[in-house]
Amino acid sequence: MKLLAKLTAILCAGLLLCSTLPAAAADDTRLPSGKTVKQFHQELENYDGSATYSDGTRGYASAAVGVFEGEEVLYTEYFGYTDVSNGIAADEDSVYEWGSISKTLVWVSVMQLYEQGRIELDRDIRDYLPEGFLRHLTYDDPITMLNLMNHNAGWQETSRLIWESDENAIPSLADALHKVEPTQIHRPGEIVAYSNFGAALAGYIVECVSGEDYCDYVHAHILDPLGLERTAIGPAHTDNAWVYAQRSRMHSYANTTNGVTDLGTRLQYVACYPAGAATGTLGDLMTYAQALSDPDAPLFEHPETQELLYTGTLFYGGSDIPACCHGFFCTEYAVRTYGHDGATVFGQALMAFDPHTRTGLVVMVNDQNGNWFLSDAPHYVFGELSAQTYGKESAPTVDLSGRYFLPARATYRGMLRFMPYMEAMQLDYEVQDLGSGVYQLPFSGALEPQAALLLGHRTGADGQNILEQPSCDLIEDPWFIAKLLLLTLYMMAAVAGVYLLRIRFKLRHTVPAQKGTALLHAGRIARIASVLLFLTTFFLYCRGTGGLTQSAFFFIGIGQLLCIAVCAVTAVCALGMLLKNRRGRTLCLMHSLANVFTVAAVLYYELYCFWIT
Amino acid sequence: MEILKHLMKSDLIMLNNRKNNVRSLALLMAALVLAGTLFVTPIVGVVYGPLLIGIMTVPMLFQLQAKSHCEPMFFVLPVSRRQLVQARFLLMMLLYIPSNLCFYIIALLSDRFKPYMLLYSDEAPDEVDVVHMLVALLENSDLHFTEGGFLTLLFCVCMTFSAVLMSNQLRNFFRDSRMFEMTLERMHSKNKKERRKLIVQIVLLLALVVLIFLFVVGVIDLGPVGVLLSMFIMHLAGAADGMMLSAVILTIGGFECVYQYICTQLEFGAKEVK
Repeated sequence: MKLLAKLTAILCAGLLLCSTLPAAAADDTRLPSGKTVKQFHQELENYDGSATYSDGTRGYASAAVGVFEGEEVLYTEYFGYTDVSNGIAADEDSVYEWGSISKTLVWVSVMQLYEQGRIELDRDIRDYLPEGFLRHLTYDDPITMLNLMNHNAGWQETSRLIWESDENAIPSLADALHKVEPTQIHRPGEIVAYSNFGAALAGYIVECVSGEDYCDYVHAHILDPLGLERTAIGPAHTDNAWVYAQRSRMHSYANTTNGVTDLGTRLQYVACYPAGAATGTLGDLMTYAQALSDPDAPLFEHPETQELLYTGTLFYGGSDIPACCHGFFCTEYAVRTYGHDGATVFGQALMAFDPHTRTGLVVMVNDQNGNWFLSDAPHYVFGELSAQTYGKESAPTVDLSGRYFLPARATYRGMLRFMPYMEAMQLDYEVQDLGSGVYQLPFSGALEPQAALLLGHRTGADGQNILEQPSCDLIEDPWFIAKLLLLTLYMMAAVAGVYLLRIRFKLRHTVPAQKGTALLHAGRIARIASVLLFLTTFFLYCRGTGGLTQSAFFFIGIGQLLCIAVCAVTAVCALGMLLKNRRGRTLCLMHSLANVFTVAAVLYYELYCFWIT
Repeated sequence: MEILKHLMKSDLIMLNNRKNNVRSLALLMAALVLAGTLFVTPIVGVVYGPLLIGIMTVPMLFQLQAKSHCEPMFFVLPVSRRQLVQARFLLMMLLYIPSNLCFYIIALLSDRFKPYMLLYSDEAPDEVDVVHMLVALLENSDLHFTEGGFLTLLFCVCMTFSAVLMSNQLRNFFRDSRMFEMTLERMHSKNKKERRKLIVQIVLLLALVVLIFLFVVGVIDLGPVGVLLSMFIMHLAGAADGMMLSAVILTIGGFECVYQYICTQLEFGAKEVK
């Protein structure tokens, strides 16, 4: 009996030990950063602890984090709350929006059709589209699928509203594309400017070539084969009832310095849904990422197709360091990762994996902005790029400080033409020139004391200096200050108009109005109205809905046309008064100048061009 | 122009006398602001400097005249009311602009060379350099400023606000110097109720300034609308390192001073002297 009891005890202890071994083994698994999974978990726990303040407010809402290596899930954890005020914690049933990670579904679909010989990557996409589908092209040059994947087809950022708030009023994909089609402002292949329109168009091409609705195609060829039952990709999530129900319970938050602000459910729908509508659980996204890093390539008929997927299509400068591989962006950490991140009005997400070590990270949050998990967690998994990897001791430095660079991903034609000037970056650092069009920006990292960031550089077709980032070029504008000065003078002219009207009103009893004063007043009122319309455009754009409605553009545009007509007429009349009268010459001259600045600013910044998307 | 010069000289002479020597008070305030700018944070120079100058200049310049009821004296002199107003506004600007520019330049130098770090050598720079902390805070809201640009924008906002305050005070002085005198009397009054009333007014004004500052840096949350408004203002502020908004704000300040000057001319010109 005693022997039997002893044997039973040994057996139980053995079973217990065995069951904890995998967990312990997973904890000790070393990540490409050199940290163990346990250390990674500790870092996340430390941050979570520090982000909860003594008064109970939180520095972020929630984060779902997953790390895998091959088929093994090394780590999943859910931090925070999907509904802070009601205390609903994030868990495996929480659904988050993929954002632009949805575009990888487009690229995988395209590569599947390429594998079947139904799409050629270097053929003009107009061969796959209905006749005359694209209506705002400027150049006759062919646009290829590779241009769409590299985001260098030449389209500017759309200025039309990309979000719909009524799920019953979402147009078809073709109609949505027509509604938001932006103007092509660069020749294909010249400038990289991240384009939601381009990716959504690629999704429509999948529809045209396969003969299936894009949503049905992705379900049939990607989601269902991988068993992703908790992911929806339709614009209103109606293709998955469970996701639809879960999503309506999720809250979105804005991060401020004082904690998080509840923005409600933020149910906004992307009509061009292939570009960013996928929504699902952390588990599903991780399964998808695992499939993408599986050398058996379960999403393709031949593993060679997946290998081709990860060959570079866009490089830093003239080097062989890839920036983009068929739509998957490369990020240089201690290892090179492939993946995509995403952001919607609801939240943000990140998917990155190293196909060689088969290690991957997925992060999903319901914060609209900020969130440490997105910015720092990748470094704790993949490490940081060492300055010695590509750099040399003798590399010359280039001083970029004091120079203004405008993002290529912006509207350069139409009523939002002023936006890139508001978003221009003044770089304040020196970089190392590694040659072959590659710059290296050294910094002191959390893990790597001599870490670095890569940038490409080249000279554009118009002779402008361009800094290359994987998804968006930065274009130097040597006339930036002069152009912004015009915008500043435009606003100052309106301020002057307000005060001159005020002063004239004050002096109405003491100084009689001269002939022509009414005309000058009309000019001042037109200047003020023009700036108010400009600020309205800016304010509506800042709402974060990705653009303005057609009617808003129309009314503001017509308003601006009326204003500059009045300004032009009164400027000429003021000049006439200046020549005729001896009195009030200075005022007439100032009035003419102010109106000239107003007309020049409205014309240069196309503040009246409501017809240009 | 000669008459204006003489009027300005006479105002400056009346500034200092045996009993009311404001020079030492002005020097003490300047020294405090300077010390704060160099050894605490450059923000003291670009915020408190203009605000103190704006609040204190007019009372300090004209307190003796208000107390001694000097106003009728100027009407027997061969100067017009227009010239009197011109001279005083000119004097105010000549004192205000150079002193503020000095504080601004010293603040920029302090930010460049960081003498305040010498006092806190044991502390991490990130915990001591307030400007750096605020700029980093704004970076989290996707607003990119250099430290110089941030200080310049703050300076322009505070300078405009205090210029408007100062020109309004001068207008009030011309409108009714006795009410102005009563305000000064209240400051020196032994009547506790009057002093308490004045202190409450000053505290409320300072609280308003602090409230606006806390809103701008995001400490106070006004909900989604506040988030949107602050994003909008921050976008305007962020263009070219704050240059655009600074220029517009200075224009507002300049025109507001001109407007107050014109109003003063009209009101003082029509005023009946008792």
